Amino acid sequence: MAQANTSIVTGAGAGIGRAIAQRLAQAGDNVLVVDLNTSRADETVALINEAGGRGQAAVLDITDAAALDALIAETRNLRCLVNNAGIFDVKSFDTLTAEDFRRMYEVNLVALFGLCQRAARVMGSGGAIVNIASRAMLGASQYIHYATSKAAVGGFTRSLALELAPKGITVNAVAPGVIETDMLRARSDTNLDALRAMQPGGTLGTPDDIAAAVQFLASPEAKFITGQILLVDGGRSLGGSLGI
Amino acid sequence: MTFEGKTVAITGAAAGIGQATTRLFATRGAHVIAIDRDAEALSRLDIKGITPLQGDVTDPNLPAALKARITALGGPLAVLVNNAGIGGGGRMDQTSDDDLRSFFEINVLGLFRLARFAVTEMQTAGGGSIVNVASIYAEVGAQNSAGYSTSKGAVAALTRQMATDYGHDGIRVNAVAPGLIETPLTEERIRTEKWRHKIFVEQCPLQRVGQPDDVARAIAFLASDEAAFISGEILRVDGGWAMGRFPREAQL
Ligand SMILES: NC(=O)c1ccc[n+]([C@@H]2O[C@H](COP(=O)([O-])OP(=O)(O)OC[C@H]3O[C@@H](n4cnc5c(N)ncnc54)[C@H](O)[C@@H]3O)[C@@H](O)[C@H]2O)c1
Ligand SMILES: NC(=O)c1ccc[n+]([C@@H]2O[C@H](COP(=O)([O-])OP(=O)(O)OC[C@H]3O[C@@H](n4cnc5c(N)ncnc54)[C@H](O)[C@@H]3O)[C@@H](O)[C@H]2O)c1
Repeated sequence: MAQANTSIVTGAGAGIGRAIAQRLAQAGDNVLVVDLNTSRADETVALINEAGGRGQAAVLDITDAAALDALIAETRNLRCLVNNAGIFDVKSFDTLTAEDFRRMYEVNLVALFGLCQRAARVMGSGGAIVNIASRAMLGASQYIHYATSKAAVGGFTRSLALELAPKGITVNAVAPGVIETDMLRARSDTNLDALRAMQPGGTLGTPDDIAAAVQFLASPEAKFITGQILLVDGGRSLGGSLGI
Repeated sequence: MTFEGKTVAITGAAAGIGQATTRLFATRGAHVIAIDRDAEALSRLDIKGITPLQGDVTDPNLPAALKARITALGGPLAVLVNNAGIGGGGRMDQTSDDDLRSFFEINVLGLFRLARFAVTEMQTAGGGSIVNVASIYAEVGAQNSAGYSTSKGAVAALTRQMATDYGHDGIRVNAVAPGLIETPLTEERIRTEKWRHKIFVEQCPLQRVGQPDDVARAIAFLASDEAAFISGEILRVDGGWAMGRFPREAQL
């Protein structure tokens, strides 16, 4: 039997990343569950293994270059990299500091670059990279450091698609809209019903909605698709919705 | 990604992208109503389980004929793929009023009418999914394509418009924007026109033209429940062409 493909999913200990890891494992991939948090990573691995899949935890900080070196050195048959780990916080423009920007970019962009570079060196033709951007890249208030870091992920994705196309590696991004994760439900500053009313379809997204799009873009089904940023936002970005 | 038992209508089903899409949906269990104006090509389609419907999308009676097929199959219309379309070159100064009218008659009004019918059907059924075939020319400027590109721009605008208006009815509307795809519409030109090869193969990041199946798989994804939270999107299936077509340094 051919050796199974390996997929790396960062930030796979929670929310969207966990759903992505579960889907790729269900499709038969050997999934490396990368997360800062040991117990959350282990929990994802347990969920994968209980469902009959193959998952393995890789507890590390993606901003740690040596840890990324070690991760790639230990990885065999890498076909897919999903850069999902990211940080977010709410801070008005007037109170933002340069340090806030640096911290945001360090995780959401520089670390993502570092992992892409290492992965691209060992990936062969047919490889796929999928980055998680955000609908916030279109412009969002109260978190300009986050929004711009995600816009940068968009530009990065398109540029890297050009660089890696000759190697037969596709690079795409998924830009989620409002996704109902545990974190979102726990936030006191958000009114879920008000958010729902802004959706043309009246519902928020689920982590699995994002995972399904990632799985498609990472699969051979999408082998002629590269450099694209697919909004998965229930139509939220189209403009006004009456919220009937 | 299965469409087991679902009723799916596809226009322009007898050739090219439409044919590949029809085959893929049929393989995935759908009852496909295969619509095409070319009766002979339709009769030659060798795909198990499809219901051929000879008709022209410019015919105002086509929705009624489609309705009869849907009723006969017993299912609500789950998916409509608006693929039928015509291509053709020409700058604005080479395009007559009548040329422009014929692009709009088929590529826009034909699509509009069928989509309007589908939306009412899907509202009654409690939801559905529509995928339109736009073009990369709706997204970027292209030489020699005034009438065609304008019509495809309208398809893109209509896609977003419908997604906004009918999201609350559980209806998702998306489009694919194919790059150059090798079909009966284009194969001769791909083979004989040198500049076309240079622009669409040599300058395409993935270094090839697309195959009908490349587009069919994207259509199937957008139509399926896998894309349940995707609406109003226009997905480029172009090997990165539109993004990377600008002059750039040669690959090292
Ligand atoms: N939830 C949403 O509505 C939404 C919307 C748009 C975009 N996104 C993006 O989707 C991605 C996932 O979001 P989520 O809501 O699932 O987030 P989350 O905060 O629930 O999970 C993120 C996971 O990443 C891990 N992580 C964070 N920094 C890390 C680091 N330096 N190294 C390794 N692991 C790290 C965390 O431990 C956590 O388990 C993020 O990139 C986020 O920006 C989310
Ligand atoms: N081939 C490409 O490079 C390309 C690129 C971008 C977009 N597209 C679009 O994809 C769609 C399909 O293109 P293709 O290349 O497969 O075309 P094609 O010419 O190979 O096939 C089109 C089919 O549609 C049918 N058709 C045409 N007009 C019709 C009408 N009025 N009513 C009913 N049926 C009709 C034809 O009989 C034919 O069977 C078109 O909308 C086209 O604009 C194609």
